[in-house]
Amino acid sequence: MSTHNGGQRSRKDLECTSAATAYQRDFVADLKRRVIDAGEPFAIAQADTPHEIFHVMDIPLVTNQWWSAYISAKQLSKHYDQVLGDLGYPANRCRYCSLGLACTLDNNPRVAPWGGLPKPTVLVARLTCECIEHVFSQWATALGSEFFALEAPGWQHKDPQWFRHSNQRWEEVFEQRRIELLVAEMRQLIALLEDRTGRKFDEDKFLQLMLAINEQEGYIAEAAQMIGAARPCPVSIAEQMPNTMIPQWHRGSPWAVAHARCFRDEVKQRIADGVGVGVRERLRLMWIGAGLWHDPGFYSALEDRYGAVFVWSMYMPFAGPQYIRELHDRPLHALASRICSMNEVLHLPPWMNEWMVSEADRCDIDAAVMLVPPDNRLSQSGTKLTEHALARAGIPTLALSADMVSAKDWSHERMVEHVAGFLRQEGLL
Amino acid sequence: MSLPALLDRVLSAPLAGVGSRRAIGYLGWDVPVELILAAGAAPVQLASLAAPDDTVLADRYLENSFSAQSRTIAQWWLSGRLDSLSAVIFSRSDDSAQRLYYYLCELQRFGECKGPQPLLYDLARIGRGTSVEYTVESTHSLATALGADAGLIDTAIQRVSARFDLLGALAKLRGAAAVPSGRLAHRIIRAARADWSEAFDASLREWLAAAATMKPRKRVLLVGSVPADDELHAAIENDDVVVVGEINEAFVSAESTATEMSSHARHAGRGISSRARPAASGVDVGSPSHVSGLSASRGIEAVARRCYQQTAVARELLQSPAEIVKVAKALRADAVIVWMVATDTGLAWEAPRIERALRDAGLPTLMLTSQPQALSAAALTQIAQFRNALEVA
Repeated sequence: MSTHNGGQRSRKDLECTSAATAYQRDFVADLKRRVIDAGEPFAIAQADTPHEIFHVMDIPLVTNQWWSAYISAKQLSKHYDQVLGDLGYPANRCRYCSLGLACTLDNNPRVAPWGGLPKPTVLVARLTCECIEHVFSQWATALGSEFFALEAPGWQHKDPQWFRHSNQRWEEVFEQRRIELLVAEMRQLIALLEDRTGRKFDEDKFLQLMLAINEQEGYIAEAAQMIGAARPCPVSIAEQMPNTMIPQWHRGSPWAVAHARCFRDEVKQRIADGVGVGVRERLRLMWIGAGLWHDPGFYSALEDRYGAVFVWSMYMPFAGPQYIRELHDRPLHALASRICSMNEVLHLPPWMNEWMVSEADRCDIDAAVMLVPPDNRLSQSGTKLTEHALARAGIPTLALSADMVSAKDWSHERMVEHVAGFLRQEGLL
Repeated sequence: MSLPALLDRVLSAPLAGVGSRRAIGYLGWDVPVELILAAGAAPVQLASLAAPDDTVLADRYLENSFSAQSRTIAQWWLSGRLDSLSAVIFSRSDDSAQRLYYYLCELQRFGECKGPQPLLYDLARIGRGTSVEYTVESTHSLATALGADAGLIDTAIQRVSARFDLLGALAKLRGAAAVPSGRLAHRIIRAARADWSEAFDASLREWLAAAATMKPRKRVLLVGSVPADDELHAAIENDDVVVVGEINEAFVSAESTATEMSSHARHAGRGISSRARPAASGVDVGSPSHVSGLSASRGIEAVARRCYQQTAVARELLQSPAEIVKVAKALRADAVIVWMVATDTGLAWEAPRIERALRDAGLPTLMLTSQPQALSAAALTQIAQFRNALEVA
């Protein structure tokens, strides 16, 4: 059961979970075939970029965060961290987005997954933090390709209840000028892709994709509502995450829509059957931050030992407010409103803290555990203000100083007991 | 008042010189000061604020990755010491500062603090026409938020142009065979952003006319983060070793702006200013903003283009190791010290390429990366050893 770094595997109960992971396995094999074996044009992009454009143009996409997770899963993150250190990158560098760059700079096909990535048509990222421009510029240079950056403009219209208005009133919530800027940038990106690949951006196909995404995200949002209301919690976050995120990588595809529907139905059935996570639900917890990818068993250990169930993490409830968009006959603008604040709502006040407080109330949360990665300004952002906001709402919060992809300084047992100690201290255990 | 005395006063108490006038603070090296002046207010660069004895209040809300400068401002703000300012402008180009803007807005919403009105200067970053246009629009919005008087824009542009002319003259002086101390130049650049009075210009002009200079034995170029004070320069400048140039946001923006704004500052082959409009990757950012007689709208647009150009020059230069080598050679530098503070996480990604280029060019280089904001004992030792090695070389 133990992984190499002391992390533990998580328990999987849902049929949907194995179906999702099987699909992803096949997809990865196909992606490798298209990109490596067939040499198709492809792109590398951050998760918070308009993947919809690539899907419509049938351009294979390697998402940086997914590629990092893939590298980590091959037990190579430590090696590549060492590579960057040996190349002279200072110790205070952010690690979350740079494994792919390290893999390219290492230039060792015998070690790299797939033998390393070939030259992509383009690399795309939003400039949401001060590191990303440097990482992607250097990665593009190393691959002999081009970096197409997207602005991450400031956001001055601060609607604390953004999540209630974002589906319909997105132009007001996310600001017209910010949306227009991204639309202009996306049009330039489309022109670049058409020029380089010879593939066309079909407006009708795009409209159908946007409608399909709304349907898919509607199922996930529905499931999130049911999970928040159900007692006991029917699905662990270790299963919420793959059933949300794997379809999210393929959003709008027939498989993704169908899978989201199946997942919603399986959740409903489990609630009807009274099935819960773990042995006995005593406490309902909220996990704030990225998933703890190197130790997913951390969550089930707390569930099994203490009945402390992680009911909430951001991935699933995010689908409703951040992805569903009334198109208003302007699908490209609707897409821009989805993308232009994807990162900001998760890391900046008032959007982050107000949403967390609202979600804690909706899910009847007893306490929150928040991941605070050291040396990562973006992922740290908003955490203290959120902690204060949750405290005002009567929700105690434990800030865990740990990284989402690196197990360095992490001990499964120590951390599980650390959280248990916090819950005891708060009188919850 | 003599320039050194004026610098002491401005840098020790940047808010004191404002007196009873309306004052607007700003954080970032590319904020359009012209708009503050046109609003009839005194601009004060808050990067000059002294670090407080403790940051207990700031630490309640700011995570550890915030820059020391942002933490200092948060502490001043939360303890009510910035209440005399009517507004503070945070630049989008400073990642830490723009996050602080959101935090302070939220803390005010919850009544956790009062203080000035936080404003964001939403400067775009990418070398693309849409980004230039966005910056122009943002600059117009900021002008409206500040209440800039259309009738005063042109005068304000001339005022800022005159200041940057003087800073251009300082840059030229530093590129000469006999140079002023780098520590003093650093103090001038910092103070020039905190005190925009005409008295400051007069004092600087007088000093430039008869500046005390010396012929250094070793000329050093400083690259990386903006030092918070002059301790780093003081540590380097011993035994006739002089910092003759700097590549960081504060200096590059001052010197590139001077180049853009003043024909007097165009002196080919003299360090940073020799860079011929490198910013924005070929994007036409329009005319420099020293042209007089512009309409208010055109004036604001020119200011926007200046700010966009200025931040692009600094960013691109710090990402261009070959250009850094060219600057070092143009300044006839004997050595380069790369100074990067730990919270400059973006800049950290450039360190290996810069080091490699400098070493390949045969320039003795001291890499001081992941540094705390205050000069550490270890860094002092490394600097002393490096200086000694230069003596032998």
